Amino acid sequence: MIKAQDTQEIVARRYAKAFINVFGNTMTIDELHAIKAFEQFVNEHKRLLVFFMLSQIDDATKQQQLDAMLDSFKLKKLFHPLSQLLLKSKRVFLLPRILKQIAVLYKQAKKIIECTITSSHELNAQALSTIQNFLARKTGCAIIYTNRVDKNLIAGLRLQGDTVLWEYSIRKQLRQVALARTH
Amino acid sequence: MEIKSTDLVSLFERSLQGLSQTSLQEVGIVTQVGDGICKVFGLNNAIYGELIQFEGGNSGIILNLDEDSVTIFLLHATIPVAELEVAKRTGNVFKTPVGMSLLGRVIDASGKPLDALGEIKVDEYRPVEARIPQIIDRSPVNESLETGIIAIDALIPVGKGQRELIIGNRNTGKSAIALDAILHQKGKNVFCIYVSIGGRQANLARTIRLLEENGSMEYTTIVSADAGEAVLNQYLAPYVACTIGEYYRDHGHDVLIVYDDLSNHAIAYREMSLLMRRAPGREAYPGDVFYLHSRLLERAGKLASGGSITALPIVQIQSDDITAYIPTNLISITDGQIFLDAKLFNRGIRPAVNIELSVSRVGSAAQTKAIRKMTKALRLELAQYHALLDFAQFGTELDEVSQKILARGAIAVEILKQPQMVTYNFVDQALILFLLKENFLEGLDIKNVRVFVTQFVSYVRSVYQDEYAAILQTEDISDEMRERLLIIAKEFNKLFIAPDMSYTE
Repeated sequence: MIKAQDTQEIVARRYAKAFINVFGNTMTIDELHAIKAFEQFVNEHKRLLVFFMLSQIDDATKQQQLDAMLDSFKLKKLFHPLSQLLLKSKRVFLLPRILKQIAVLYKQAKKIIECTITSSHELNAQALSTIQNFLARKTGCAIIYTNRVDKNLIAGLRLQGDTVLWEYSIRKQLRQVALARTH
Repeated sequence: MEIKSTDLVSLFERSLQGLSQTSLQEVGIVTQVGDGICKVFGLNNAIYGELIQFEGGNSGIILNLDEDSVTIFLLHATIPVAELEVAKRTGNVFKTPVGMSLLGRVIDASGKPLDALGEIKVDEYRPVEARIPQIIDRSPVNESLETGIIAIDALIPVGKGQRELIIGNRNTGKSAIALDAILHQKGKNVFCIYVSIGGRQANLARTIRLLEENGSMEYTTIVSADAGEAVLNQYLAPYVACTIGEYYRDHGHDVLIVYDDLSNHAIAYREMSLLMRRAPGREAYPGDVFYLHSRLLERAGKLASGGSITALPIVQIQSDDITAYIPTNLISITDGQIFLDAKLFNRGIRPAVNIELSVSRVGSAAQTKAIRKMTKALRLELAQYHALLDFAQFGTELDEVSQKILARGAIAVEILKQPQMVTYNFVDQALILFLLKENFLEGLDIKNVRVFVTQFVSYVRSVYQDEYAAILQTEDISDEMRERLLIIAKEFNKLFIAPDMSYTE
């Protein structure tokens, strides 16, 4: 027994796979960033998708609006065939899930790891570059990173990707001590 | 103090430089939590049954692998898991601590002590899903494991390495039988494990007190997963207990495991399966519920290299219906069943063992010679008695033979009655059954039968110690011994004064 949410996930993944099969080789890192930004936008404004499901609005208008949205993220060219298909099959509501899956599959195909470098203190460009190179060497993947400072680490670094984690911080050691005491 | 970022980076890099990629942590992100279950995105290389650690301190076991996520059941209901929390692989399946120091202890399904007796000295950690002993490693079940309950040892004998199901309605004395069997193992070099699955804490506390008061805790380990614990713990508890039992067995000991009860275990697994959205089948149980119990009970058995695990699983039924899904599964898995009848229980026949519906597939191979000789015709006599009893209820006038069968059957039923926490060794049982077989109880008032047999046993034990010791040693009642016992019984018959008679005098 599969619930509706899981079914949607499966269908979205199929669309994403098909998209990657066709456009995977031509897609760029910038477009990946744009896809992520668009996904975030769609997730934050889910109400917009309702308009694409209203039968009173004709398909031409819907397509026009969708293209306008995609264009503002510089994705019109890449996503036009997919948007057409989704409108035709009345599955625009799947768009956020499809975008998420596309990003995941693209990163898998191109061996890209998105990583958040969290440090207790501000890191300079050279340090960040050292970490990036270090991670690339260790994982054999291209690294896209975002940097943030978290004083809660007390002292140390935490590198967190989708599926990997490196942490070397005082907070981690304190957490381990606390866990050892409670168990 | 100002820390230079370059120092920080080089420190970090230095600490990781020596590590290979495989030793680095593989993680996933919690995307969904609820009902003791969570979905984690990532953990791409995780394996089925792997133990996962959450940053918040909880842990869980992977029980479903999807394309880009895994389903994890949480071990601790009280430690919260948040969405987007990091879950780390441990690279290990769930393991339980084992060791001789677990004797006399009460632990939960994760091996943590519940008895406030301090830390447990662990000899090793073993995976809870272990390899089942192969045919070549096993030896036939031919050694008796006394339960101390005459109705069972005489008619439905349990052997070392056997799986004997205890089945019955609620409140028919299922746990009482299992606990009596544990109490009876005192001084017999059999280690016992009692597993409480989905039970009440008050009941468990009573059980612990009972075992302590009778000095049975020193050879017993209790594994508890009460109704308030995470469903995963209830699912794991019997496997944990079996793993501990295997450790004892591998050290050459005989082990008795009581699973109290597997209905609750099946219910816990059903809950888990439904939460995992696995297809429900009959009574909403998943398709692999048979395998759930068969792989557990197949771990019992007697090894050729020494050591055995005897399993006494308990299953509860509704309205005496043994054809329900889980009971029929367990009946087919086990080597026999002890059926406890609510009607017998309410009539005061305790233990309420229904002889007709109970069976031991090992049969007399697991009986001592002495008992075997004394019980040859007992089952048949009881069957005839029950058949005639139904007939007699219509008020039909019965012939002399039938009346004799009824009288003898009533005596047999009377001697098979046994109070809780009173157990007999095989010599006592053989002596009691001897009296029945040789018709010494005929003519006695039914209410005096119990007194007669008890006093006879104690008479032989105290006055004829040599004879008693000979039976104990040879485990047999030879023809000469029979002759001797006939003389003793005749002698005792003359000496016996029924309690009501002594009162009137």
